[in-house]
Amino acid sequence: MRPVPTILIALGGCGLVPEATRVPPPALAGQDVHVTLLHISDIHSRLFPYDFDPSFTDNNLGFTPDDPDTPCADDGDALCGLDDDRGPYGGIARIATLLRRERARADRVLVLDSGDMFQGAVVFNQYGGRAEMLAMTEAGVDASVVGNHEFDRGAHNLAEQYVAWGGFRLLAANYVFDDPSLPWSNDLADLVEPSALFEQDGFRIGVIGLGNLSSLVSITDESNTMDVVPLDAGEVVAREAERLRTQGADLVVVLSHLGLDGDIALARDVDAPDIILGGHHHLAIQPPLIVTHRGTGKRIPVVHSGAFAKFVGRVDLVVRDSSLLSIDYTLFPVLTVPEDDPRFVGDDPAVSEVLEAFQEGLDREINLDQVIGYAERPLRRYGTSGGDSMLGNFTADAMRETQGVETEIALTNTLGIRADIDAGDITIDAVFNAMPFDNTITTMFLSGREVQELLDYVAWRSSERGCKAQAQVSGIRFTMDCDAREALDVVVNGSPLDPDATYELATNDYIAWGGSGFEVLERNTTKVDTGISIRDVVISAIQAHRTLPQPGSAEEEGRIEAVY
Amino acid sequence: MHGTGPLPTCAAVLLGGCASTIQVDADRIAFLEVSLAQAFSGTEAAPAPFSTEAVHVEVRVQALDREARPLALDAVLSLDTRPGTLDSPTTVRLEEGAWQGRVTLRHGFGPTRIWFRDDQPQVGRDPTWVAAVSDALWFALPTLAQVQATGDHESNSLEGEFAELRTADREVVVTALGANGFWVTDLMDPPGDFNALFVYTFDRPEAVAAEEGEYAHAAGRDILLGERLSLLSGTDQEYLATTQISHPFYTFTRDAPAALPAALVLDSATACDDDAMERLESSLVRAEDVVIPSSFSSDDPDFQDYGQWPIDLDGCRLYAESSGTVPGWHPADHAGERLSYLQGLLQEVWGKWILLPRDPTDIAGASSAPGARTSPSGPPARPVPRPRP
Repeated sequence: MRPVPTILIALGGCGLVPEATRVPPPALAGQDVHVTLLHISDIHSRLFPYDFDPSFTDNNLGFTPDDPDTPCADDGDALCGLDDDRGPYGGIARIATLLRRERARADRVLVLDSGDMFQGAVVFNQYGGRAEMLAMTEAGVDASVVGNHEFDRGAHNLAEQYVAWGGFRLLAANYVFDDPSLPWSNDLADLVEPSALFEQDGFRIGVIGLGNLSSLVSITDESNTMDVVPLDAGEVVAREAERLRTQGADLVVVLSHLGLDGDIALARDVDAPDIILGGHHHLAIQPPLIVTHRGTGKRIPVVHSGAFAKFVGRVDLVVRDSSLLSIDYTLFPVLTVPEDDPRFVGDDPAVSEVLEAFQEGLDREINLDQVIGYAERPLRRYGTSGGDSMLGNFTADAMRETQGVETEIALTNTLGIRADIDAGDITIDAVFNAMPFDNTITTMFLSGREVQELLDYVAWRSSERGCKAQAQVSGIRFTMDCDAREALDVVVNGSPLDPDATYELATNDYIAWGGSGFEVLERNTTKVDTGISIRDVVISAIQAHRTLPQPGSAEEEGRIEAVY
Repeated sequence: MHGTGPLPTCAAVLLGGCASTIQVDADRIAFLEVSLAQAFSGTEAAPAPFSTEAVHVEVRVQALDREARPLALDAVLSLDTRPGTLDSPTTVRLEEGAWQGRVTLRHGFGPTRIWFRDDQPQVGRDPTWVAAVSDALWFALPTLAQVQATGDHESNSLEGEFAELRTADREVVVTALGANGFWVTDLMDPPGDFNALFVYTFDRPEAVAAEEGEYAHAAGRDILLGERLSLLSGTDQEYLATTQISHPFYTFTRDAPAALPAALVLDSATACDDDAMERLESSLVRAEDVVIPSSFSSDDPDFQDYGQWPIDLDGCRLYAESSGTVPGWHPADHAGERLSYLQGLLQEVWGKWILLPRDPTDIAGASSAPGARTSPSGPPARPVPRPRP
């Protein structure tokens, strides 16, 4: 073939080349246009690679068992050789490499994040989001939706971190931040946009952000922890999509943190989006769902690409005359494999450099690698039969028995424990990963009737979640009947629950103030926040036991019998 | 080599952003144009049958430049199909910018399109990553049996794909409810012939009702036994070798619930044959005159970890899992006993067949256990039909 001259095309208004060398965008009418969306979600501060024990579902998604011929690397991987493992997994430096590689393998491409980059590892506890903002920017994220955990240090912290370190578009069309009549009005109003429009060689992609609604403590309560006034997702998507189409959008993407059920409901009821990229529930759905709109029959893909920096999702779309014709999807797991393995992904140097300073700081401030105990087998946060769990029992016991608390009973929400503790040495880092929230122990007095109401609520909430116990207890045994949605046969420290008696409860400050819908705790007027960190209490308990599980400690005991 | 390589990484942002540049060769592929060289038999109104056999389609593809003018270059493209499975070819060579030939695929359903991509490394040019698709090839949605019947009890025909199942002109009904999903059976197929599967909802399953042609969400309403599905789709998985639809999207008709199918009585020849049992997967089955081995105790690891306990049917080992649905009845207390019957939904875990009793009435004698609940009885059991030839 003969060589032909190269022409440079400027994509927007501030081109880097002289006007004379620009060429007009191609004639897109009637043509198939290939668009690639690289998708990540719910990074949850897992910027550094980490170990975990892959589940059956993880195995199916590419976290395959060890090759017995592959020797264990000298990387401190406690699971290598012991279990199904190609850890340590994930990490934003390897995700950045994947993103750059896949960008280079695409025609028109955006990198989109479905939110919750904050909270979940000690780097957030220590630096409040700076590391996440810098790393996501360096990794090349084009736009991110505001997730509910972005507010974990308050709305002002999010604004400060984003202004100082964020280099991507921050979106949420269904949040109002700037109603001056409301006490929580704040400076996010100037930073968070409802949508963004990107142009790629003549093709325009509109991206609408949708923040989470289900995690608001109450959308009408002034103690609303997210400092926002939420709007109806369907209405704002219809409005923003129309605005974007007016501006020439050929494709409308909803970047959502609603959760899967919210995304499906949106696609079913509102035909304005062409595709929804979602997060919040930490699901990796391969391949994506396709939801049929109830009225028009439009087929709208709903994409969820996992969490905790374990995956990068690649969505390939073919669009013709603003109609999405077909979708293809690839989910890349972030593994530790030899360099000659086709799945190998190395660290991105620029992101590694960003992380280095934070790693040094953590090493200096907190001895994350300090071994505080030993787990003879994995300490699970969920019970095998849906009831009480090893880690749940251990945590609730530690809360109840700690000096200065010493209540009759304890209850904590299962979702406050975010990860298992793997077999092997237990480090400070592992405890931070399992218990990332800076929650404290709150005590209060409840009547026996209120304890029954509390446990009935646990049964109701658990019944909505596959009859998996949504709370863990100490000093209490009961049958959680998910069919009747009530707690049966409640026993407190060996005696049947007395409705007229008074019991002192230890719980965490999040649910004590009504988080996750625990209204019976929220309305209690005897609450005392002890200020005692639950994570510190658990660390002390592990140090005291040294090896877990032991009889009566970190074992499933049938405290909660799940029946359905 | 004069290829300019892939596009740069920075997206141009219209709203207050900056632009980047693209390098373009005059003979760089900007578009591919895919057309069907022969009309396809299926249409949206009258789709071609869902087929496990190969289907052939004559296709033409043409490379175009930025002005949508034909290009006369040589290039290798890759092919695929979504949904479905592409048999051949997996790559084609454009000569003078065009290729025409036969593409063979199977397992297409709904609007199925053939993808062409310029993504192959070649001597003399770099891929442009341009892609295009054919017009829709309309295939019928698969029935439950067409998904389940593959000849391999640990796989199904759409495993790993997003599946839309045929319900509109079928009688797909809910036969049982669980804590995290429900079981469905297509009553238009012969009983016990691959016509049942599990729908995994993760949360407590709730109903979405269809009304006057539109779907109305009925949040919080429990699904009723016998309800008829008007739509069912989701991720098709083999979870521990049992077919399930995960992350489902489903709706129900407003018709009166259907009568539930009878439990199918297992004989030992069926119970000892994985392929025969696969036909019954997710159906309600009944094992009569079974023995809980005297060697079983609550220390059994499978019981400790998963709540599974063994039963013997004429020398065939089966299992049951009852802790969540039959409270107060402890199998270890009955080791060595003969049960006149035990019935449940049939599930496979890698060649291990497990009956999931729905409530205490599914285990002989368990209804009288403390804390037992009762539920409406189903129709009388019937023997397992012989497989179709």
